[in-house]
Amino acid sequence: MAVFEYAFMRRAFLVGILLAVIVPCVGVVIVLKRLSMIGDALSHTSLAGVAGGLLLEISPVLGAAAACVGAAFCIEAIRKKLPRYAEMAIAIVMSAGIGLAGVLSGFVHSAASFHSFLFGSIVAISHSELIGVVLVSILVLSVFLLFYKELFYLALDERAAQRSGIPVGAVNSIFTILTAVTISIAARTVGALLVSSMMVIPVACGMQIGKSYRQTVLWSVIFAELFTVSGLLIAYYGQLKPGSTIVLVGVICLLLILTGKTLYVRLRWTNRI
Amino acid sequence: MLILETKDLSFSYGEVPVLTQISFRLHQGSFAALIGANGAGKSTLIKLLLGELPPTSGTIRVLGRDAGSFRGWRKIGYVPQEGLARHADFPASVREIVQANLCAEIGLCRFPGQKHREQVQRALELVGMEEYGRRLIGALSGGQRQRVLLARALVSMPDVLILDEPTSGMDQESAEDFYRLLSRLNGNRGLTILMVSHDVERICGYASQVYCLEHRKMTVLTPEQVLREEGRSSRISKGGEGICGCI
Amino acid sequence: MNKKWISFLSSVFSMLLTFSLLTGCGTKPSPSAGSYGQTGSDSDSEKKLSVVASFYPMYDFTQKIGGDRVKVTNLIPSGMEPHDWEPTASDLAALEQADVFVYSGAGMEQWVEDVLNSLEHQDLVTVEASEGITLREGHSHGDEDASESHEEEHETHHDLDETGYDPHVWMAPGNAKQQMENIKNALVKADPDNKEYYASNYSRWSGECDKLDQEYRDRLGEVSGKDIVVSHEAFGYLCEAYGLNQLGIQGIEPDSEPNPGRMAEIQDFVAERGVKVIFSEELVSPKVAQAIADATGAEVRVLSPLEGLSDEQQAAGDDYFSVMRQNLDALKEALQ
Repeated sequence: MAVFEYAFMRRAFLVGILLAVIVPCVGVVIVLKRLSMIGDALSHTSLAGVAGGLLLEISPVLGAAAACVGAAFCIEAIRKKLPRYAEMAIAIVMSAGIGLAGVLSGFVHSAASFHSFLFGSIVAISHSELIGVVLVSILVLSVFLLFYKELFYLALDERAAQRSGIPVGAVNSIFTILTAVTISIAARTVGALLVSSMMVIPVACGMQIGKSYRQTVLWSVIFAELFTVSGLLIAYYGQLKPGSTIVLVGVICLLLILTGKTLYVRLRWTNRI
Repeated sequence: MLILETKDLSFSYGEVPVLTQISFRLHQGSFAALIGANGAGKSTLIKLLLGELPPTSGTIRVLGRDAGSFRGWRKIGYVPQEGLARHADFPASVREIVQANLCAEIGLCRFPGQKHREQVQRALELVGMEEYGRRLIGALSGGQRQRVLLARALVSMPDVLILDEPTSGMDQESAEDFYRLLSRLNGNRGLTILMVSHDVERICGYASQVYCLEHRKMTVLTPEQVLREEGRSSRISKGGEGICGCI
Repeated sequence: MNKKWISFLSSVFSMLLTFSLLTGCGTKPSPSAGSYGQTGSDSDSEKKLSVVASFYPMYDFTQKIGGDRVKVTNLIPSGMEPHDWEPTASDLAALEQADVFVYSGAGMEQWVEDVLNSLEHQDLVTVEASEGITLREGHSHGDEDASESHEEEHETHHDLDETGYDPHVWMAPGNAKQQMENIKNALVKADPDNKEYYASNYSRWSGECDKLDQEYRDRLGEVSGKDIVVSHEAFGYLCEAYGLNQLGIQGIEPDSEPNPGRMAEIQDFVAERGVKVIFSEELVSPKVAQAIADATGAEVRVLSPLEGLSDEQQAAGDDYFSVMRQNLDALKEALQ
């Protein structure tokens, strides 16, 4: 196919496919812990990190990652104080992140670097960025698999997990870092504004189909891959923005699944009668 | 062997006293009921026994060791009240939920093996849910979910099972089945049971002793004493005041 | 629990307060008028005309025409991309105090209308420097015809939907001359006493414009290549004047990255037409240009759209003419 003759497209697909594995894995735990908006909060905070990084003249990626990790731990700390209002913790940190990003952006010289963090940079992935994504993906996937059962129990019932002997504090911290790192890397390619959609929509689809936690995780990854690959192809042929296209493909798919299920149930009901 | 023991245990939430000088002993093989009016402090006592709250004064000993330094909590099975109601739409199969309690046993960064899968199957058999292993937890009825929670508590082969109103929200028949199941576990397998219940009449049919919490104090009674008390005083409603016959 | 909660909240609030105070009172370069190093010559007691220019080329032209009779400030600080910029409260305050306001127009400064409407200053002389210049139409991609996707049009909504014109008029020396004339007229209107002074400055600098124009014609007259690939379509007027053809990686303004289909088109174009140089700019990230260059074996060079000076250019004392000459060198080399 002509599309794969271009090196930048091959890189885009590779990065997209790798991210479509790790983002929904983290996303499943995030969604089940009722922290769905964290993707938004952390990716907005990563903008502040980018601005900070550009100002301090360190790599904006490092700035983004550091800001994400810091914000994630803040959310975790607030959540522990107010466990029933986790979403408030997220909103607080998101406001702080956006505010900081706004203020710092006044000092930042190059608006385009900022823009690429907003909308993603999947067509201009450099060699070093590609290596970075590969390494981070391997790391995140390994940690996710190694702590698979602990993360499951933490998402299901944190108190019961603690009672059964899991070191809840440590596992939560590890997961927090994992989330922050994943989000700051994903924000770079599909854009900060779209990261949380990538975390949540494939998982929402997966939950409609999966009949167990394991199936949910697998289906979430499958759906994310489907959205990414088709989104990239549509963006290429249709001359559309890749990040947004991927997300819209996901939303449409979710709507189709939901309506499909409702119709199916209704049809079965009427057939019975 | 003493499973649980408290001596002069007192607890206050800040300035508000909840429990005063509670002393009791739970022996191995007993089936004990914990009853009392709403707000009498039953759940607080459970939390103290599970080591989740530190006592304001007095001692708690679990399996012979002080609760503060006790590390073998895997040996204490716990079934919370309506534990999975809020997780009814959680995407997990029955097996996954039961197996979760084996995390610590399997170990960090390790994966469950055949041995663990068999443990899960045995636990499901104990509660009569072995056919439901692959079902989504949300597809089960309330009673079935509670059995799954029971299996989860049993999977690590605990020495004692503590249950907090496990049958609240269940219909009569399911509740009766549940009690019978517990009685079998207690009788056939010598599993010590401590169960909080509002269903005083029913539990007195199964328990060997009754701990009664009222006015921050505990009285230990036999089921017969409790039933007599209940029969005598007509103003006593289910789990209402004065059930202990004290003061 | 309550007390701990209160002390936790107070420490969070005090941190936030401290931080916002620090940023508010800081002496860091703020995006307001009167940016460092770009003010006019500081004479002493003479009463000078106070002029506010919207961005760099306007600043430069005004400075040349006004000489030491004006004090010019550039609204947009060096290093900032003007297509995105929005004025702050202090910028509006500066405008209230100014005598003359110079802006290019044709859709370059999106905020001009709102700002002028909200000013109370009745005597402000404003000049749209691009008045009288024949404007080109702006498409989202200079080379394409009307098969752009709807998405693209909405992305570059800033000047496309508003005016539909290409605002980068100052890039052709002939237009620069016209802009200088408009500025001269405005300065004369605000300060009739110095009419001859301004006129003689204009005469001198318009001569320089003609000279620059001639240099461009001479040196670009014989080049073999005619196609340039640039970061954003800022060179329409320059291309029109000298018979070149621009292909912009992005559209009229550098908002975000090209979509994958567009990337492929650009790469194909570069390969087909044998383009040897991909031009990037000072104020925009060269990432995409670099990616295309890597894939096609081309090189990345800078071609300045003169929308602002970088810190290095400022330090070197560059101005419109020196940068345009640098551009000419780069173009000559690329199109050889």
